[in-house]
Amino acid sequence: MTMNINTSIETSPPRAQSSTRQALRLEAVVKRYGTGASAVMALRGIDLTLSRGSFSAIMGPSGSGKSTFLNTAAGLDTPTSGSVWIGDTDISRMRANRLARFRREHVGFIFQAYNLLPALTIEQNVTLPLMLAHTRVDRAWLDRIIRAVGLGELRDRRPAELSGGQQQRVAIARALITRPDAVFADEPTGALDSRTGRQVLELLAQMTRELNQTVVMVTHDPVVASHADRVIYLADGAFVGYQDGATTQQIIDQMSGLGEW
Amino acid sequence: MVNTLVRAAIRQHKGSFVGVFVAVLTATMLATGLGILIESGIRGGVHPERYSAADVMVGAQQSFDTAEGVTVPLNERVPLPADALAALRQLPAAARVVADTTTPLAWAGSPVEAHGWSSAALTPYRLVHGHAPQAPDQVVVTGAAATRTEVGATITLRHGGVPARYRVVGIAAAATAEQPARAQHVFLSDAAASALAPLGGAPSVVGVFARPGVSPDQLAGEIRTGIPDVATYTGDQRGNAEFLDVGVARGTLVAIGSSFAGTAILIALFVVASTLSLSIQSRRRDYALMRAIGATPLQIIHLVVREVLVIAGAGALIGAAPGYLLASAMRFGFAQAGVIPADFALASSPIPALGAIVLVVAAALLAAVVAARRPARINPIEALREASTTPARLGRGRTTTGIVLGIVGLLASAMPLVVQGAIAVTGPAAALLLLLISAGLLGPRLVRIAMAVFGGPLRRSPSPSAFLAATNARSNSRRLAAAIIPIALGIGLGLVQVGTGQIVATEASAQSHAGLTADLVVAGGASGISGDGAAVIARAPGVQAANPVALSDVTLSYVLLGDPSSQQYAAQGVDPSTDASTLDLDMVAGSLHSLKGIQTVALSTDAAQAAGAHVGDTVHEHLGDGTRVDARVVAIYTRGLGFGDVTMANAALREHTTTGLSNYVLVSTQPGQRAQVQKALADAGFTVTTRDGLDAVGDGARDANSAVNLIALVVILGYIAIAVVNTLVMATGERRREFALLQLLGATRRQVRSMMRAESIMVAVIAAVLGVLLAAPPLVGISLGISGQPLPGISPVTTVAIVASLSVLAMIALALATRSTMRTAPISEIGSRE
Repeated sequence: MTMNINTSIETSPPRAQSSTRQALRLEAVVKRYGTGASAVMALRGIDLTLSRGSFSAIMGPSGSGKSTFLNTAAGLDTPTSGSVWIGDTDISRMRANRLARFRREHVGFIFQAYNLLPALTIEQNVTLPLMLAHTRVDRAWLDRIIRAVGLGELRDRRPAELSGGQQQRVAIARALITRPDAVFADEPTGALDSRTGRQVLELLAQMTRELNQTVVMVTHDPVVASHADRVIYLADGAFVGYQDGATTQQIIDQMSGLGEW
Repeated sequence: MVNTLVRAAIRQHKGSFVGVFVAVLTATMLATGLGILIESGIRGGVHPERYSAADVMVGAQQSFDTAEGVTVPLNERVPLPADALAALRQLPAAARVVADTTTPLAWAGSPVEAHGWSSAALTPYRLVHGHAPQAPDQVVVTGAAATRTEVGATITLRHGGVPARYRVVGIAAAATAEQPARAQHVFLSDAAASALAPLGGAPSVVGVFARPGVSPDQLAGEIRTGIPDVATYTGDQRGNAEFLDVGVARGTLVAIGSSFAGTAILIALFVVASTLSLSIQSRRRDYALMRAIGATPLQIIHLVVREVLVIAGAGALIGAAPGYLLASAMRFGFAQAGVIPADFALASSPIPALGAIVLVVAAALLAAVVAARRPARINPIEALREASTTPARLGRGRTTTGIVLGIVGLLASAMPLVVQGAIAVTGPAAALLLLLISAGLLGPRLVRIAMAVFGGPLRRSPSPSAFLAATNARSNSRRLAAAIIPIALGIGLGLVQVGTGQIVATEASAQSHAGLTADLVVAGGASGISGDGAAVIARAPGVQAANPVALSDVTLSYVLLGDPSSQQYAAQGVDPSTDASTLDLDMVAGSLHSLKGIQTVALSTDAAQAAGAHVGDTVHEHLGDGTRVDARVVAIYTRGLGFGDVTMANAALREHTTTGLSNYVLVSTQPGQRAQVQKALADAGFTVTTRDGLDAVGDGARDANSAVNLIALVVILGYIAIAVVNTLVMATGERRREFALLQLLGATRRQVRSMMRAESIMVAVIAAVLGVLLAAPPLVGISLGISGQPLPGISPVTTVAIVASLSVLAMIALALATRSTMRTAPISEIGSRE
């Protein structure tokens, strides 16, 4: 059921009216490494719009451009051409320092491992992005998030005293503390056992629903991807299709069509 | 199998191994350099200039052994044993024996050395014009001096301030290409030279020519077996017989090298050990993994030892070569400071390098075994789990040792409260070393305490950088300690080294100013003042009192706390009839009037206390030329630091010096006559200054000494600087992931840099405070012992310079390390890979 994603995904009309609805928009994003004959096209013209409150998984075989997509969409790297909008800001032409300041207020990150600073308490880890942005902590929001991720009693502990699943919950709370336009998760359960991983993914899904947050998750694991509302397939630097509410088996079938993974 | 692992580990953890490599390399360089100084003190020297023609030079032993087995070098020329000359002439292997005497003269204000003409046979000098001196008023001039005059001219040479006229009858030049340059020489007739020479003209050095077929070494061997108590010199060693200052310089080099080597090597080993443990700690995860998959603790230790052997071995081998450069640089510095002659040649055998390599590699291996014990013993599962945090606890043994050494150090610093005088200063001086080791052992704990004190306000700071820095520092006190402790050690060491010199110099100059009551200080121009010269001065109209002062040194031997002990003191010989109008030593007991001959002595309170002597007691002395004397103490005075701790009768002391001359004469004038006396004496060819012109006794030695300390300090601080930069770069490199994470969470690069700047300020401040705290007890102790003041008189400029230079260095190093650590893109550091 491969189809031309470029037209299908772009459900909302461009710009202006969508400022409250769209969380992330990529327009004709190309990323090329190197020049001349040795140039590598990592992304060959990506168009994508994700609405607020969506939970998407980006899947693709290795070398398909998942990491480049994540870096470019999250504002860690700038596209060679095209533009990236987070909320209603075009970040594709921002300079490094401004981008860093923009990211800390509008983008959240969740990684596979080494997510937390061992020297800080759980609560300090969660509020770190606010502190770096010199923003006051909204206690009510902090309490709500910490309760939501189930860490109420562990606020004053240090990361070393927590299990891997608990640490990843802290990372989720930290990614949400700034009420970002989008949260990017890179293999968020890669370091966890399957039961803990499932709990973390359920939490992510629940957060997107209850707190109206937007999550973009990059993974190569069909089981993980099946927790997302929508799975978007990437191959050879371009989107090649998507599925809504896909089961693990459907994802496996789809991926098999894309080749080695 | 192990080798494969070692190679893989080295490839994988290049950064951490580079740190160990640099630490070992620099430590070896330092140890080699010091080793060369010590070896040069034993074997180095100056080429002979004058004594280059004789096969073997024979002199007396220029040192003596004390009861406790220490060899004390003698600073005055030791006379040959009375029967030595006759015995030499009896030797079958000796073809010819030529005696030499040296008398210092002044020729138009510059020094020349006078010798008998027969001794020209020992030298490269041959007549080029005229004839040899025969009458007592005839002279042959040499070298550069020859250009100032001509055969037939009359010149004035002064001995001891007394002028005499000589007629130039010949000009000699060296037959070799190189003209002697270390001194200017003139030759008198043998009788005239002998009449002027010290010790009544007895030869101090004798040259011996071998019979054909006898090698110089064979001849030297025969001389040593045939005649006891003489020293023989052949080849380049003959320079040591010619130049007394070279022997002194060699003694100095050994003393400097070994005193400085102790501290330097201690610090070097500490740095290597702490670098190693930093490196091993950064790889705990690897070791835990190996333990988890079945490696035994012994295998882990084995692996670590092999790694260290490879890295440290390479570092040590490469570090030995620049050690020779370091030694040359120090030689140059010492020569500039006037501690060793400018032409003093270093011995350069491979022995110091080999010694340094063995020492440093052995120390590194020992440190590796100690550092590897923790990862080797740890429960692997636990290790993998807690691998991303640092352990904060110190072993109990380490803590206990540190505390005990610290307490002993503090007690030793307090020694001057119980004992008085210079001897008590040895306590605080040793205390510094104990306190340094203690601080090294307790480092992380001290840093944690400091963080509790200083960190509070920072952790409540609204600035995220300050907050993060403070929080990181608290939970990573060990990493911080690795940076702080070497800086603090450097500051502490620097303050005590420089401070001690300043305290002593300040007190000496205060005593000298207070005690010197004479109106004028009269010196003999280019040489000293003889008894006749002093008499001339005393007879000058308007002179009320003239007190000739000769300077030398005396070693006192005594029993201290049940052990035989010896101490070399500066000594002065004064006129026993002197009164307070020229010199006021601040007498406590007895009187200088009782000084009579060699068997009476006056001591400073310091020396008297050390020797446990009171007026009327007998002390055991070795004079400057090694003569043993049992002398009765007739007086005790306080101003030992300003004038010398031992005072003897002028004539008695002069007989045991190289030149037999006084250094200067203290003159008090009749009221209102000062200007006239000054003019009259100056016209008579003396050098006359007011009393402000006289330095405290030993000021020159102290200046040289403080120059040596300064050079030593620069080398040690330079080493510490390299070590600190190295440690900081290593420790910062480990934090790549932390910096990356912070950036991904929204920290700008500037914020990360500012966090590290806050951390570097903490490092600098804690190191400065700790360093000053380390230096304070010994300095207060030394100050109490020397001047009785609890507040050490150290120039604030020096203090600030030492503290600031190291602190600033740490901040620069950390800033550079942070920049280079952040070079990789944050996402590629964190990514999804562990």
